[in-house]
Amino acid sequence: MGGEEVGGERTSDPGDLIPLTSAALNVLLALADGERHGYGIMLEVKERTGGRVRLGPGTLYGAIKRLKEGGVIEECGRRSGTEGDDERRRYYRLTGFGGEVLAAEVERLDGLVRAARRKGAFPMPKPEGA
Amino acid sequence: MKASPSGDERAAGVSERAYRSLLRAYPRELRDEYGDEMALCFRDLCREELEDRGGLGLAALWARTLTELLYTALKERRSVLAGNTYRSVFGIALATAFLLLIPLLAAPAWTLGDFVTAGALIFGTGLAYVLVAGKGGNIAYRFAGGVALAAAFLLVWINLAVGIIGEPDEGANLMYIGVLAVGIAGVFVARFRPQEMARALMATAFAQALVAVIALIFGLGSGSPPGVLGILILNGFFVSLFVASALLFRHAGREHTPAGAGQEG
Repeated sequence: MGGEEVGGERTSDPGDLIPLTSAALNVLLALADGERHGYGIMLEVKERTGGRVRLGPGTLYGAIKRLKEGGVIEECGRRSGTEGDDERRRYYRLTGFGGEVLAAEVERLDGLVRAARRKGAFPMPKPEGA
Repeated sequence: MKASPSGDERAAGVSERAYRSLLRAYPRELRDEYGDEMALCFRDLCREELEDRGGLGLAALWARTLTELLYTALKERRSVLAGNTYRSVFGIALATAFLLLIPLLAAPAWTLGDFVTAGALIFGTGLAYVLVAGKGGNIAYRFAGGVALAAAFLLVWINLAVGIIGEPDEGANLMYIGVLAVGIAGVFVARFRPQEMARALMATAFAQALVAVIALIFGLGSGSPPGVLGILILNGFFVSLFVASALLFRHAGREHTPAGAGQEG
């Protein structure tokens, strides 16, 4: 299922869902520190990547649909009364399983970066004060 | 070039309504579940762009969004409708309609005849690709078919638009019908078997080169654009594509024969 986003039959093994697509990973990272609505996810991704990644509505909600079907994220209802907020917006958050999937993907990427550094294909981080 | 706040709000509202109507491109399942939120998000993006960059920002957002919508709508529909030929035809029709939106918005001089011709060409090429891909070959086989079809598509399109040998109405351009005929006849003879498809595409490349040689020997189209050098470059480009396709078919044939290819009937 990895690389095809997440969807179809549910699995209980986070490893079955990785590697995640770029869109799915960005959605999970946006939700890692709290629940957000769709536009909030878009803004978080844009700010975090310095504008290099901009999720369009089609990409975002395609990913949300599959992540929800896979049990990786869940809806946490709608909000009302917040100024400027629209009551029709739905908020999403990571499930416990979603946290495991994100951790497994980050670990996989970390391994890749460490391997790249070992091979000199990636600049080593500069020591503090250098 | 920024409009007033009320003008911005009106532009965002109009854009949201237009986007809502385009959401029909997505499968009903996704549209029913998330369509409202997608439209809300798009409205927020419109407001953001209008506030930051005005009308130009909104135009850039629309350009990004239309491309994304085409890609993701096809992707979502493919995942819902995978493997069904009828549904594939629907997808091609949808893609054709979306591609025709580009000249509709950017080339107001196009006539109805231009749209019909372009639509038939795009739709026909898409159908032909579905037919080739449906033979169940490996990636090289599908890629080979895609390259050959892209070359045929461009050959017809360029000839209709500007002509390769002189102007579009230059009679010498009719020789390219012969090139396509060689390719089509070759595919029928090959019955989609990769090694034979490779030979058919080599024959097509040879026919393409022959047209260029004839044009140069008899000085056809030398007095008008694209000129002798242009004729050489354009024909060389198409010969390269047909040869590349032939080599890919040959490579595909070494791996395995696609299911159904070469079967009688």
